[in-house]
Amino acid sequence: MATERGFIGRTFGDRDDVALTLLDNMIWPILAVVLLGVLVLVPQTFRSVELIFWGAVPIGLLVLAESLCLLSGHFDLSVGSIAGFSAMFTGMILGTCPSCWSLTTNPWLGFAIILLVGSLIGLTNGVMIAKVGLNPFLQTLAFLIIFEGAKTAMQTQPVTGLPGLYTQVGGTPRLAIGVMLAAFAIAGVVLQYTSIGQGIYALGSSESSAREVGINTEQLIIVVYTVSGMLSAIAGLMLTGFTGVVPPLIGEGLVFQAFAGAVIGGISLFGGRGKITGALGGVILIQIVQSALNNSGAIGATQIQAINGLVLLLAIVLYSTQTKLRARILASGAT
Amino acid sequence: MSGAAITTVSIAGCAGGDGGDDGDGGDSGDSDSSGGTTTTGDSGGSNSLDKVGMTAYVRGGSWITAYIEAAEFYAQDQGIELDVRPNQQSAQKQVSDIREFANGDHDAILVGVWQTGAAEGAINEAIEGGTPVFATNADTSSSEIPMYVGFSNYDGGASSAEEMLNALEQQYPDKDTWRVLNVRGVQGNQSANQRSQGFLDVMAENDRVEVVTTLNGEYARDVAQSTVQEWIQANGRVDGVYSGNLSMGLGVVQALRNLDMLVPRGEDGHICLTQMDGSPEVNPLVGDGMIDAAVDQPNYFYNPIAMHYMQEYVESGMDDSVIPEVGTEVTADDLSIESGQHKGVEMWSEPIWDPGIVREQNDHPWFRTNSVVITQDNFDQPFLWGNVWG
Repeated sequence: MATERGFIGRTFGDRDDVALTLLDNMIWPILAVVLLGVLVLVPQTFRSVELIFWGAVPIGLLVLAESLCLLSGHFDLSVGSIAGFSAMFTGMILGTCPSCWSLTTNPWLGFAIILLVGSLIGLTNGVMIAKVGLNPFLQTLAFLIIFEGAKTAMQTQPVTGLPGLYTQVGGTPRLAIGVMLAAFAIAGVVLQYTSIGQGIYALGSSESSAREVGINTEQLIIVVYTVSGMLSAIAGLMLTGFTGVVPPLIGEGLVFQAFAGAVIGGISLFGGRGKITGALGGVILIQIVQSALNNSGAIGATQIQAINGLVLLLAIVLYSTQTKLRARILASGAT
Repeated sequence: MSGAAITTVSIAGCAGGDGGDDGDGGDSGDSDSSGGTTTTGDSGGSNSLDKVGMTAYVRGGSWITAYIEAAEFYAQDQGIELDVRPNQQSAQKQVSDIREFANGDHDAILVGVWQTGAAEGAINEAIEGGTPVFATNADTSSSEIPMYVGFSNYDGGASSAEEMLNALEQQYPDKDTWRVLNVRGVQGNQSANQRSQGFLDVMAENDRVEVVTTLNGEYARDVAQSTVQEWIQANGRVDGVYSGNLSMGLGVVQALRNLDMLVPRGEDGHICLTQMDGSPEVNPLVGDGMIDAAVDQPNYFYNPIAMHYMQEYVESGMDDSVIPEVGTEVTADDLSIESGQHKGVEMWSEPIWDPGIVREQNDHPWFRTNSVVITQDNFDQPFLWGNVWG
C-alpha cells in the first residue's frame, strides 16, 4: 500500500511538476507557435533575423533592467530616461558637433562615463527607495521627468562626430547581439545560482519575510536599481551605436516596451516570479511580431500598433490564466 | 485701432499636431489652414506690439531650434520682447501658458500648437479678451485666429513625389516599373498623414510606379532604420524610398549603409531617396548624391512673417483688413521681412517663402509658404536653415 501510494504520489507529483514547468516557461511554446505562424504567413521575415535581433538589443537590455526590478517586487519607470540621459551626456563629452562639449575623443573613457552615469542614477534611485523610503513609482517617475528634461536642457540637436569605436559596439550587429545575450546569460546565472539572485526572488515574494531570514533588503534594493541603471546605460550605448549619433529624443517612450517585454516574458508585476530567460523570449516575441507585421503586405502601417496591443493583451490573458492554473495545481498538491 | 476691444474672427484650422519627432522637427503639426480674421481690443490698451508670448515645443532637434531662434532674432531686431515658453509636449501646459499670456501684459500670442484641438478654447478666450493669437508651423482648429503661417505638408509630400519621379527617370530610365517604399510618420498625426498622402497621390498617377508598401517609421530615426533595413532584407531591394521627415530620412540612409546599398546617384545600384526636410546632416548627404532631393520648409520665416502681420494687426487696432485675403498670392514685392545679421549670415535676405498663397483652413486664413527643394545645385546655400543651425 505504502509502495502503491508512493508510486501514485510520485506520478501525480511528476505530472504537477511537468505542468508547473510548462507554465513557468510558457513563453517558449507561445513563441514557437508565433514563429510557425510567421514562417507560414510572412516567411520572408526570416531573411532578416540578424537585423531583427540587432534592432532588439536596446529594448532587450531595458527589458532585462525592468525585469530585475520587477522580480525584486519593485519597478523602474526611469529606465528609458536613464538610457537617454546617459547616452546624451556621454555624447556631449565625446561628440564633435558645434554645440557639443568635446572634452575628449577617447572611446574607452566614453564607455566608462556612460556606465558610471547610468549606475550612479540607478544607485540614487535605490538609495532613495531603500534608505529614504520613497515609493518606487514616485521616485522613478521623478527621475524619468528629471533626466528627460535634463537631456533636453543639455542638447536639442543630434549629437554627431562620436568616436568610431564608441559607436561600433552598438553598430556592429553580432557584437551588439552578443552583448545583449551575455547580459541575459549573466543575469540568468546570477539569479539562478547565487545567493544574491535568490535574495532578489525572496525580496520580490515578501520583503518582510526576506528581511526575517537575514537578507539585507535595503542593500539588495540598492544593488538591483544600480544594476538596472547600468543596464539602461548600456541600452543607451547600443541605441547610440545603432543610429551612429545621439538623437535628441533618444530613449523616450521605451519604458512601455520594457514593461511589455517583461510581462509577455512571464515576469510577474507583483514580484518574485518569472524567469529571465522568459524575458528574453518576450523580447524576441515582440520583435518578431513587429517585424512580421512590417513585412506583411496584408497589414497596413497604421494598423500595426493596434495589433501589437492585441498581442500584449493576449499575453496578459494567458499569464493571468497561468497564474490561476498554477494556484490550482499547487492547491491540489497541498491537499 | 487700438486696443482693446473686440471683435472678431476667423477660423482656422488644423490638424493636429503632435509631436515630436526624433529630432528634427517639422512635424508636429499639421497642415493647412486659412483664414480669417478679426478682433479687437488689446490687452494693454495701446496699439503697439511690445511684448509677445510664444508657446511651442522646444524639443526635436535643430529644426525646432531654428524655428524658435529665428523668432527671437526677429523680435530682437524689431524691438519686441518675446517670451518663449516650452509646452513640454503637453497640451495642458500649452493651454495654461496661453491663459497666462492672455491674462498678463502680452500684446499678442504666437502658438505652434501641440495638439490641434486641445488649445482651441484657450485661444478663443485670449482673442475674446483682446489678445490676438497667431499660429505658426502647427495650426489650431480655432476659427478665430487672424492667421496661421506654415507650409503645406500635403504639397510637400507631393513635391517629394515629383522629385522621386525625376530621380527614378534619371537613374532607371529603362525600367518598366519602379518599386518604391513610402516611410510615413506617426500614426494618427495629421502632418504624417498629409505628407504620406501627398506623396501617394502623385505616385498613383504614374503607371510606372509601384508603391510596394508603406512603413511606419514613427518620425524616429532608429525606428525608420530598423524597419527599412529589415523590410529590404526580407523583401528585396527597391528603386526608391521616400521619408516623411528628416529623422526618418537619416534612418533610411543608415539602413542602406548597413545593407551596403548606399551609393551616390548616377552610380549603379543607387536607390533614389527623397524626403521632407533638410538639416545640417541631410544637406551634405544631398551634396554627396546619397539623397536625391529634400523638400525643405522656410521654418525660420514662419514666426517673422507672423510677427510682421501681427504688428500691423495690433497697430491697426485689430483691423482684419491688414491680413491678406484668402486667395491672394503674396510675393516678396508685397511682403518684406527685414533681414538682419545673425549666426554669421544675413538672415531672411533670400525670400525662400515666396510666393505665399493665402488659403482658408479651419475657417481662418492660412499663409501657405512655398517650400525649397534641396538638390546638389543648392545644398550648400546659406538660405537653407540646415546650413545655419548646425
